[in-house]
Amino acid sequence: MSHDEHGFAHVMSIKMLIGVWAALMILTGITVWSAQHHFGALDLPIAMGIATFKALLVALFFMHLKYDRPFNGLIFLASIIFAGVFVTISMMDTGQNQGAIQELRTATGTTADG
Amino acid sequence: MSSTQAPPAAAHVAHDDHHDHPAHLAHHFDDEEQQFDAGKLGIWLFLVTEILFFSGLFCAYSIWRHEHPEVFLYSHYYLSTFWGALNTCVLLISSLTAAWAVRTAQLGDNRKTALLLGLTILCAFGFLGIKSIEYGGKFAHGTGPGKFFNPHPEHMIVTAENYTVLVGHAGHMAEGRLAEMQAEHPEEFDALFHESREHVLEEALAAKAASMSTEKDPVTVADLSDAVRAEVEGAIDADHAAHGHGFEAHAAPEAHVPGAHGHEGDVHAADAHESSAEVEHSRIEKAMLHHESEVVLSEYEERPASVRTFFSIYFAMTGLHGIHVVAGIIAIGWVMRRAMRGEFNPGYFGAVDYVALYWHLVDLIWIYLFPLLYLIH
Repeated sequence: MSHDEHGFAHVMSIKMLIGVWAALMILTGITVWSAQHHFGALDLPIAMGIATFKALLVALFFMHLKYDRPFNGLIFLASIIFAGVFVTISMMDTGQNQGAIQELRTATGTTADG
Repeated sequence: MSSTQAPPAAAHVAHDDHHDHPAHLAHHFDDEEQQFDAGKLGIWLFLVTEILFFSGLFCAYSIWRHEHPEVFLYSHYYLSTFWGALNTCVLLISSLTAAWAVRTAQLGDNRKTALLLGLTILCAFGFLGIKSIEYGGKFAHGTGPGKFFNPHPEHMIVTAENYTVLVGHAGHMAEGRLAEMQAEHPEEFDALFHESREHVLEEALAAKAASMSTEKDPVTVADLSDAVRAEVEGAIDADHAAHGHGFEAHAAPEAHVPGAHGHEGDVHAADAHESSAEVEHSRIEKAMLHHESEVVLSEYEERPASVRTFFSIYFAMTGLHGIHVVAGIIAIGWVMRRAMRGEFNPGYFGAVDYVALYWHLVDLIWIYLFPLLYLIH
């Protein structure tokens, strides 16, 4: 492809590999640090935002998606979209049966760890 | 005649195949790049099934956390952020060596490829070692999955060794909670202030009555004259006017609540508490702090229902991930052996790339598991 001297292979430079790794380590530090501080309702979005940024770094560079055939990235993206659809639809009726569970617990005398 | 012509033609084609194709190129591919792309598409399709596989557990996690946030908040004190963060770093290092091994394989350096894959395997074993320390602790404390969830009372969060620390935290946390209440719910704060003032006043009046009593002539609170009452009340308000300075918000003392292991963090938090205790509060404020501390302690003493399920989810997610690490060790070991035999070259490095992709996915899943399981607030 772009690098004729290596045939079809896209070779990542050592500088790039270590740079991406260092960024991932720093982001891990930031996510641990941010967990020690309270941002209220933003806690989870911040943690997930950092995780997603780390995942993007791994996918684009370590997994070569940035230089890969776009079709591979497309099927990867499709799987994430479908996982999202799966979780979202599954969560649509959460809370609907909590009253029934609580009634059952009260009726049967089930307390903790049930 | 036609039947005798066919075999030489077929033999000729077969001969051509061997002539054009290097040993590492399978018969059914036109060239090395086509072979590589086909393998790569295959591994990506496999990774897609892996993501959907794990999504079932992430779904269970999401529903449970949404339904029972208090269970997750409570349970995560049992998980050590230190071991979790260390394992994240170990996996990131292994991802670097795996990606680097792909580079050296692409350049045809089999010796370095084998070495880097060996380092990747070493990190994988390190990850499993740390994981086994964590799992061992869970079982020792009785916080295993399913029927193995039977926490020993001495390892609960509020335990003899942790209790004094927690009491310290409770006072520290109470101060922060009161500051928050004052800012966000002033009417609640005022109600608590008046309730506490009444409480302090009752105690002071009782003490006053006791001090005026003699053996012959006992004095009860009801016997006190209005002038004495006004004097006592005035003293309390004067004390509040002199010492009352409100409550200060502190930075997240909850982050240091002792887990089952008792970390260094506890010591720092305890120190912080002592320094804040130097600040003198008025009697009314002390009563408010005492009340709020009791509330904090009661919250921790009460184990929410279904904590067991958190540990089942924790073990299912990290366990499935751990099985993938074991599979990764086997797959990478196999490719490392092939590298030691010098099988890879710039036209044929697919196997290294594919196991590395798999390994990066294992890392990717851990990148999400770490904050979701260890960093809950």
